[in-house]
Amino acid sequence: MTSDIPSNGEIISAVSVSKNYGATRALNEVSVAINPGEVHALVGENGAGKSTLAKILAGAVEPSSGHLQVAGVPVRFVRPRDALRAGIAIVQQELALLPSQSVIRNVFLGLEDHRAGILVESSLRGRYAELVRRWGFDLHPDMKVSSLSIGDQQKVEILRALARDAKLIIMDEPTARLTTPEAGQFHKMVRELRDQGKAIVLVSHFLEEVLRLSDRVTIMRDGCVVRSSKAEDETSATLVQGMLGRSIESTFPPRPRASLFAEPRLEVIGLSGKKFSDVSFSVRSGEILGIAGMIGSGRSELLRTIFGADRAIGGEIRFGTNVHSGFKSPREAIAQGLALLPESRKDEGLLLSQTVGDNIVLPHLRDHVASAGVLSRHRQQDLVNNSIGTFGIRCAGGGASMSSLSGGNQQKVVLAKCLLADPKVLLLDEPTRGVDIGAKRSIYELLFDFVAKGGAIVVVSSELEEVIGLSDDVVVMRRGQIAGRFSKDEATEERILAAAFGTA
Amino acid sequence: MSLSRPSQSSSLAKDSSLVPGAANGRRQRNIERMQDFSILAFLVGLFIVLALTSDVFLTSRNLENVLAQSVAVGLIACSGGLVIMCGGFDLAAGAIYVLSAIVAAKVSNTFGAELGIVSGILAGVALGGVNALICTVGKINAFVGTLGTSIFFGGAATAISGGGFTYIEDPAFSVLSADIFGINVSIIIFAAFAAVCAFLLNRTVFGRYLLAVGDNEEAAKLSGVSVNWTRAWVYMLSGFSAGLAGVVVASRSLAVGSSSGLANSLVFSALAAILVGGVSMRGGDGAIWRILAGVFILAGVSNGFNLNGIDPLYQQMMTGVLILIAVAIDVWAKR
Repeated sequence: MTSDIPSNGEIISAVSVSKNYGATRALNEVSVAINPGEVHALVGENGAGKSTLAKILAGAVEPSSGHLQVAGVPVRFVRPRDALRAGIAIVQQELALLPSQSVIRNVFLGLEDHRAGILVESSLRGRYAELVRRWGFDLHPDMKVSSLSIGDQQKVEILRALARDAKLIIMDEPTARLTTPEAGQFHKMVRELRDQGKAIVLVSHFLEEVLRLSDRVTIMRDGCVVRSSKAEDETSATLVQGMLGRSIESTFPPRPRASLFAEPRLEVIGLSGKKFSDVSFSVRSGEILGIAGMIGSGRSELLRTIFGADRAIGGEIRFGTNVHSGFKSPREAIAQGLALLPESRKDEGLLLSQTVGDNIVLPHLRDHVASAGVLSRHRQQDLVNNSIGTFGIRCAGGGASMSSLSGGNQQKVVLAKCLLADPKVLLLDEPTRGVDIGAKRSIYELLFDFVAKGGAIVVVSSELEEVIGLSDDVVVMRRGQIAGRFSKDEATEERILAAAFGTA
Repeated sequence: MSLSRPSQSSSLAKDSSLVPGAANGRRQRNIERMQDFSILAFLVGLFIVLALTSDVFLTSRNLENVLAQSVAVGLIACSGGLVIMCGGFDLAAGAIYVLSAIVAAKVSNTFGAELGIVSGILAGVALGGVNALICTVGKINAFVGTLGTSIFFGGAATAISGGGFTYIEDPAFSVLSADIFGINVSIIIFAAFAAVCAFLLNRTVFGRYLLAVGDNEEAAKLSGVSVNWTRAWVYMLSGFSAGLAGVVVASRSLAVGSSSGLANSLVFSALAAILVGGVSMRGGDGAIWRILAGVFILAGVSNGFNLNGIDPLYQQMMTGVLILIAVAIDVWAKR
């Protein structure tokens, strides 16, 4: 794949590594080499395979085929401990610390000095002092980790890697959750580590950061390496081009544009909440509004807040004729004609140990299934059979256990659940995540059908193709704020990505 | 932002684990059936063994005794099972049982048996309401919260009763353990309450909600279910059943003790029955009939050991083994 892999001197290299998850190929014959003293960035869109590659290098995931090589010798990492022994540590996006323990205990967890099982605290303190002095960190050893800022918690993880003499530290989206000054400090620290001979693999969404910080950049797309090149030979434009690299197929049936005179269904005015602030938009009857942006840019939180699942901090929502500062609960939102298809069907969408039918009717029991609190079995059966037919859910009937369905059919169940009571506005968060192409197309058709009948949709998606293909207008979010608005004609992948990355 | 072949989004990687396919679903159903079958088979087997080894077992007098002795545990196990299915835990049911019986006795001695019985049951509901507040609005872990209230209620029971027995003066109180048509009223109450619980669980919106909350709290909330209210009603139901058990047992001897040892052993017996009945401690799954089977299995074992003159020490060991087997089936089934 890459032409210029140095065969020797590397800390670790991946040789034709592939990774399959079921029928999905997350990595496809990837070869890459990491050299000492270099910052090696991995860039690509969500789902390009960066994190999978990072996890394979760190021993958290085993490749389906291909192998890893340390100093020219093939190695096999079954668990992270194997990688650690080879000098490779990973700092995940979600930090893996013991929050109620002190800094020093976290740093030396698993490396404690002991005599016959009894801890020898004093030598640990000496080692900590030396470690901190050598790497120029400024952290008190007795601070409780939960009382530290995210930036300092990250330092604890890095110290932990350094305490194990890691030669390579892999960092997955290290600055995504940092404030700007914290990110600046972090960049300085990375350079110091590199200057002292450590190698860093940097997985990042922030292209300026990548260009400023790294020596080498590997661009990934669809599980393949596009190219590995020197950072100085790239610009943010060439990076984006490499990450995109193809044109949109016409998976989306044509659809008449929503009338400009249609009544607004949902208006959000200066709404602020957890992880986003001052967001305004409106959707009319017959319209689909797409919300693009990187994972963690506040899109899901926005939808949850509109739906009343999280509290709004400020701003207001105009829904139909009502203006208020946000629904108090999902129950109220559903009663008013709002529906949410949540981001994770496993964690927020479904009751996996209940039946298909019980899942579909759950939000509608009071209004459509029960009288005076007592369920009517045949009413449920009618509704469920109807939904299974309309949505083309492939299952052994309404009594089938939820966990027996494929991902695509599970997603159709969540959609059926949302649409059963004819909502006015549908909020969709990653509506086709983990769904195969066939089911995807039928989900799109159901959505178009819904707006053709006068409904309105707000859709969050990490797949640009989907956002552009579905939406009339596209709003791009970046770090909790709206970073761009595009009409259907203006919305191109380049523009959306540029707004999402902040390179516009 | 995966732009090309959509099937390659990284999110699929996460999801692949939760698309186990039809084979897995079938396996799960089979295991559930096995769970149902094994508990029934054990109950029937136990019944046969007891009938063969003891002449006394099959007499209506003995059977009625076994049933009557199971009333308190059975009442608390039915609603306690619902609490666990809802993802909660009620350690305080035993203390509520003791405290509401004392309230019933005191009120009865002043205002008569009718008011005494009603106030005992209402005290149970109110004390359940305290648990509900602590575990919903207070956001305190159910285990810790009800352990706290359990100890508090136990102390209150001793304080109110003065530590010894409280005797009920109005003989009308014993109506709850009289016979109607040859059957003890307490057994009828037990049967009726179990039927109500089964109906609530299987046929009402409330039952669906409580399973939904126990299965996946977040999904239930996003489906418009009020998680706090659902939990609150379940705790109050549990308090109701404990209060009911308290007055029913008080009606037998017309004397109410205040021992917290009794309260604790009652809670643990009920929990044992719930576990033997295969209610998942993770919540979201369980059935009233299986809890009843659990109650009767443990009662039958106890009765059998008595009738055959075996050291009750072995009975305790056997109960422990039965719990472990039932829980192991549940854990292995879900893996």
